[in-house]
Amino acid sequence: MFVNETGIIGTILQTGTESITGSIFISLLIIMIILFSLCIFFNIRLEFSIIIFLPLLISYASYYSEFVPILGAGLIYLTIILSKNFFFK
Amino acid sequence: MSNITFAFSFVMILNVLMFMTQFAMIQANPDSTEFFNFKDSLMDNFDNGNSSNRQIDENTINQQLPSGEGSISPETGNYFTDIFSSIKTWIAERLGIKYFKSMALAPYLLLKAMNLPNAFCFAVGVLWYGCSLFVMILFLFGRD
Repeated sequence: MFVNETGIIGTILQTGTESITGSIFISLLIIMIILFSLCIFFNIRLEFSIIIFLPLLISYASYYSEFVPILGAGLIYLTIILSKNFFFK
Repeated sequence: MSNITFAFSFVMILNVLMFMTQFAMIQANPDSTEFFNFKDSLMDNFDNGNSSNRQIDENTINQQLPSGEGSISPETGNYFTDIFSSIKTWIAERLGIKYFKSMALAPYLLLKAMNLPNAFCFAVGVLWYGCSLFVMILFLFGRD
């Protein structure tokens, strides 16, 4: 996966992988958890935060197959929201 | 919304979301993991069979809903057995019973396709299989 080392997230990813975690999967997962925690902290509903997380997870999962089960869990949650609220109300 | 409608819409929406996600992943990286098997999904019933370009099969509705009487196929030679067998096949093929069958197995196949641990797939599959069978029996008796 292409990483822009000059940006903030790129620097965090590069430094985090080399110095702290040792695995790019864990580094990306930590960044995702931090973003997720921010959404919870600012009381952003999960239905709205999925706009950020779905493309992020799709791009992660397309390069790292470890993210596929996490993406699957996200899709199952999204399916429950869609089928309960938008279809057959 | 009754339970069976929820179960069917859940499986169908999950199929559609996974198909689109798989398409998006392949667009981003052509070497990405393939976790969605189109041939095992419910969406395959609506496809016209041209694998290079997915298109809705316009005859699907005609194929699934009753359009006319069927014929009795002589299989065993026993008249009553053949009549019963033909009626059973006609109802299963023409009234969408096969969607019920695929609905009961769909989440297990999807979880297996995501390379999740076998014990987890089995446990969730048993839950879904048992519950959807129960819901189907209730539906056949006219209860939600």
